Parts: sequence; structure tokens; C-alpha cells
Amino acid sequence: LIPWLLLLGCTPAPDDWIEPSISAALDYRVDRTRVAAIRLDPPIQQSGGEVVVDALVLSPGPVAVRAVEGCGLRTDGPARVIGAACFSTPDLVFPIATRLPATWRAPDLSAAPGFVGCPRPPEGEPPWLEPNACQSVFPILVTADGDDDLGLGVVDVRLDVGREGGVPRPLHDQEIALEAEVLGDTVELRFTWTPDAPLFDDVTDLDTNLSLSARWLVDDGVLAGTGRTTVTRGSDGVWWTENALHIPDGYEGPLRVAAIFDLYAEDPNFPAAVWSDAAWRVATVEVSP
Amino acid sequence: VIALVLMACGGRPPELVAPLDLTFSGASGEVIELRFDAEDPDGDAVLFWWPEAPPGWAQASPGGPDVTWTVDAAALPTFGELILESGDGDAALHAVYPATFLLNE
Repeated sequence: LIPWLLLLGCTPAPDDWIEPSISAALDYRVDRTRVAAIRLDPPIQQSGGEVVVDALVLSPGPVAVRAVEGCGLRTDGPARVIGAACFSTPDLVFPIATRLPATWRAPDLSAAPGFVGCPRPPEGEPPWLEPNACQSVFPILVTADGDDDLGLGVVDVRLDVGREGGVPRPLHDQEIALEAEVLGDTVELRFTWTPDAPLFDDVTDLDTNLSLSARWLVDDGVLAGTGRTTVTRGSDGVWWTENALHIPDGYEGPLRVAAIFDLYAEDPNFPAAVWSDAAWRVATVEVSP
Repeated sequence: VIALVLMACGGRPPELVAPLDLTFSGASGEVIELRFDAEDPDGDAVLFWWPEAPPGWAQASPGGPDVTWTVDAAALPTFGELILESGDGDAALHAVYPATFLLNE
């Protein structure tokens, strides 16, 4: 009884559960194994198509990917499984890979009952989208082994069945730049995305339906802008964000800085649907006394 | 027993005292000096964090109460938040307040 009471006393009441906002902003140190980001290529997945899964895995020490697994996908009809809860039912889990990046061939669901396809709405017509009729949704879990702990990350896959219209390209690593300038005990950081091609071949203006946010992780120190910063598009078309890392007194050796761009956009072919992508860069600052 | 444990855990989050309205506006290029005040019911020091603040939003020191905002028209409007933090590490307590940054045309 006493241990339970201790736990109760130290746990915030439900009204105070503000962790999602806090953790993204202030829990930015690589003090444990973390699957910091997962991306899928292509960013909109197709029934019967190839999907490349990649993740940014960080740990204070050596780290290895243990498993990439999916859960809840069916071949006899639409699935709508969101989040990690499915992985507690082993019968629904299926293996994808044991290393990253991993290439996975999605099953062809076009002949499965229950799907009626995803026709593109006529020009000027209100959006039409019935996700259960043209998508199967299921989670992919990435598990990584650190020295003495485990890192987990989940991403939702949306397999379109009978989709009409193009799909976006993924972000290219070479479009992303992370610049660092050391000024005393502070590292000024600037993260930019310079698109080298439209995200959609047949869509020239995504600006109003595109948003980017940035997350940061560091081995140690204090981020003046926290672990979550706003991303701005300059008049030159470059998206950018900045931060400043204050190196702790007495720190020596390599100090990693990871910056992640999270991209969200409304699918121009299906205005009610959102697709996402991520890109990242990791820089190492050598700190000497 | 529960009351004793709550005291041992240090239980109450910090609160914002001023300003209570976190809606900020300025003209492009304008430099605005701001100071924030918060208190912690347990008497701990309070840190001020601004995730997703607009470009030009600079604290005099990390987590400090003083901010200089150089308004950048290209980056507004922006929605962010103020996180107040008191205590240390696993025992830290937080309070979150939404913030809005607007441009005076």
C-alpha cells in the first residue's frame, strides 16, 4: 500500500498532465536512448508500393536497432489502427526489418473488400474523403537497444488504395543545412531548408497548406530557444530557424546537436488529408577547456 | 500519508503574475523590452521558457525573465507558449500559458 501512495503523491493530477507540450520543449537532452524521429519515403504511402523507413536514433553510448515492426494491418479489408497500443497484442505484430533504413513492400489491397478508392475531387468541388474506404492505417514501431536501456518510436502509416493524383517527394538531405558558430560558451545554431524542387510535381503553390516546425536534441547544455522552435520562410524562399546552446561549465569532449525538421502539409489532391515528413541533421561540437 | 508525500514532492507549480495577457504586438523593426514576473508557492526559483517564439525574441539570459523582442514582419503572426519551470530535474514542476505574437500594420 505504501509504495502505491508514494507513486500517487508524486504523480500530477490528471488536470496537470501537460507532458506532451513540456516534453517536446524541455526534454531535449540525449540522456537516454531515444528514437527522435521516423520518416517514410514516399511521404504518402501506396497499397502495393515500396516504403523506405528511416529513423534518427540517439543514445549517450553505443546503440543498435533491434526491430522495425508493424501492427494491425489486414489484407481482408481496411484497418484503422493508430498509435502504439496495438503492439501489446503480439498476434497483430509483424516484422519489417532489423536495421535502418529498411525497405518494405506494402501488400496490394486493391482487391480487398471494403475499399472504394480515393477519387480526386472535381475542380472546385468540396473535398471528398472517406478514409476508411480508401486507406488502411497502421503503426510502425522502431525499437533500439542502448547500453542499458531501450528507445521506442512510433509512426502511423497510411496506405492509400486506388488513389488518383500525384504523391509528394520526400525531403532531400542535401536540402537541409545546420550551421553552428561558437561564441565563447555559446553555440549559435541555424537550421535551414532550401527546397531544390517542388514537393509535388503538379502543384506549384503549397505555401498556404504547408507548415514546418523544428525540434532539437543535445548531449548536454541548455538550449535558449528550448527544444522546439518556430520555422520561418524568408523572402528568398529559404525556411529557417535558430537556437543557441549554452555549454555547461567544465564540459569537455564532443557535444552532439541534432536538429529535426517536421513538415506537415495538406494533401492538394485531398484537402482534408494531412501528410508529414521529417529531415534531420546531427552536428558535433568539440569542446575543449 | 498522502499529505506528507505531497509536501515531500514539493507539489505546486509556479504561477505567472504579470503580464497575465500574453498577446504581444509590434511594428516591423520595432524593439520592445519585456519583463515577466512569476512566483512559486514553494519559494523555488522560476525559469521562463518560450518554445516557438518568433525570430527576434531574445532572452537576456537562458530561462531569465527579461526579453528583448525585435519585431520581424516576415515571421508573424506566431503562436507559442510560455512554460514556467521551478524545481530541478525529475522534481521540476511546470505551468504552460499560450502566447500570441501579432504585427501592427
